[in-house]
Amino acid sequence: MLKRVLGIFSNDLAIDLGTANTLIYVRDKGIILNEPSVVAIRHAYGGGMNNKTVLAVGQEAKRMLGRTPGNIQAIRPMKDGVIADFTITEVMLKYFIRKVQENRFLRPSPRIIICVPCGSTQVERRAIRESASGAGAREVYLIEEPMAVAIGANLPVADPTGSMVLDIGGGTTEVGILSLGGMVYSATLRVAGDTFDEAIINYVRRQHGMLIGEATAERVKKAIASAWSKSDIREIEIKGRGIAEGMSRAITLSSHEIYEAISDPLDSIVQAIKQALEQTPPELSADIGDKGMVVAGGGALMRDMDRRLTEDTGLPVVIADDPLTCVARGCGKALEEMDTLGDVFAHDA
Amino acid sequence: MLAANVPRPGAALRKAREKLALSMEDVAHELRLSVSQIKALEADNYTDLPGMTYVRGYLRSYARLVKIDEDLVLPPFQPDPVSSPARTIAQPIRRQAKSGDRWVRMISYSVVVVLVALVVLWWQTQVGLDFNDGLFTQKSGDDAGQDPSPGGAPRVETVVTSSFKQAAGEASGPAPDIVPRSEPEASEGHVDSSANQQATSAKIKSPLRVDTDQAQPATAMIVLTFKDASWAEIRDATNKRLLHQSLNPGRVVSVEGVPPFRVFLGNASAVSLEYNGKPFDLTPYQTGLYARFVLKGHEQAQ
Repeated sequence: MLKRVLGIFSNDLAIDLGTANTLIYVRDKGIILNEPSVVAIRHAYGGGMNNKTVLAVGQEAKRMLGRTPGNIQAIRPMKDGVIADFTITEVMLKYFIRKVQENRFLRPSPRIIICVPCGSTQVERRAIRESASGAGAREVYLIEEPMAVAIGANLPVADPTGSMVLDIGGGTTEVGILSLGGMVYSATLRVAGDTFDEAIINYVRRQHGMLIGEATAERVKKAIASAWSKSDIREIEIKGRGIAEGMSRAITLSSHEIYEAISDPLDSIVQAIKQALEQTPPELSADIGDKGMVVAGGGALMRDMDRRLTEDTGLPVVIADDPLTCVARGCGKALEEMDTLGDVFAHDA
Repeated sequence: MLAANVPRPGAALRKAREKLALSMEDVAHELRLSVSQIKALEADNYTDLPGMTYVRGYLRSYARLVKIDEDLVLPPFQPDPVSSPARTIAQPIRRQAKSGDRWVRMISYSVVVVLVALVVLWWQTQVGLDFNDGLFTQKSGDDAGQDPSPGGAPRVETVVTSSFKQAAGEASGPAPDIVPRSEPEASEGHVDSSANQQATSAKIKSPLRVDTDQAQPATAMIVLTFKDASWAEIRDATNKRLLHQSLNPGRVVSVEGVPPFRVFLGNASAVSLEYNGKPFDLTPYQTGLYARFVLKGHEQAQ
């Protein structure tokens, strides 16, 4: 009863502080913020490095990426799943937290759950924790991403049965094998969505002698990229700057070319899965072989990703429902059921 | 289990598979599932399958393999984070109250608020009281911390000190008729007196006249009338502070003690002094704003 009364005043948040997107789940409301993790900073003229003001955060700032004049800088403060720019991350978190609680008269001071890559170091975890504290959190809990994915995908994490998850995010790919509410094996691979974009940029420069930006590369990836060599061929026309002549020109890319471009990062993801399976105790291995692997994150949306992984690993592959929000939903569920779910949180050493 | 209003996907999947001339084994091989799992999917029997997350994934893959729209075989996804199988986890540890818990915080905040309120309340009740060495012990009830209005009746405050009492007790041996008159005043010294100036001066004149009639007066009286705010300090023969206070305009203060008195007035031009009922000229003693002088026992009553 007391809990229910106090619950009225609670404004707890679960945050998927991702390299590409930040999602915020508010208790009892669901995911109410999904914005790119981008901050645009304006430097005042002659003011030196200290004279900075935040120009835009999120969607608006993402549109400025690669299109800024000299005094504006569009920054992605997260890199490889961890904080690359501490101050900017704090500013971004503050902005997002204020945005989801704009009706509050008082300064919000919520409990916050943030997910971290399982391979992040103690220093990186502390940075994330302190960023959230600096943004006004009363208490900060960290949860490892594979655990969040498993909870978000409704897997029986607490049961004595093995579950395998793969989360292909923006900056990192996480492989985790879980049983009895804990992680049996986990690994982080700094190869993910951003790596695919870079691979596409490099491929276009090498093969077509043309420079394209990250935004274009991402558009290409979302439109035609396929993870499987036997997928249907699709094509897209893009424009960029020719290296030799320095003029804008257009080329047509096929999905087969893109497959070729991203095959290296794809291979390393497959290798990571194989390595995880090799390390798995036989009983859990049997469970996983029987049920399969759940894939979440933006990478799961790539065409025929499941077919490719099935073929290479020999496991049934299940794409989670709504894979982009799976981590945030898992964090949210961990928040809602903090008392019953047990110790699923990551602890500092 | 799938909702009842959704068409059972097993039959549609089987039909599509047969149309493509694929056997169950082919599908099982492609999806890396067992033939029994494919059979269960086609029979819409999910009891032996690992859970809805997996079943949805299998159906989606199967539909894609046999090239039918996955929306036809899947009920729409509704994220429902509250109802999860994870609720059944064994949780043996009782949660302990930590300082960070919300209710612990709320209780401590309310205790702090109550304490602060009590302190403010106590302070408010204390504000009206004067603490000047315990010398000034009388004050009319309606005078607490307020300046009297200029047109209002001036109040007389009588200061009686223990040194005076002792002095009076010692010195009044030869004049026993003074003691009964001064003793009641001494005992009433702590009681508020709202009497006007005339009444009080009339009241105090009689002992003074007795004193002057006597060869050597034991005590003397100073009456100070303040036209403006001023600091006043008066010490008697025993160096006891009879008055040590900043006084507001309109106040009339009378002080009794053993002469000689050492008097210091901060704003001398705004003060008129009566010594033993007679006006006393302060101008010869004024240096700048203040005046400092000594009142001897039997002189200067001009």
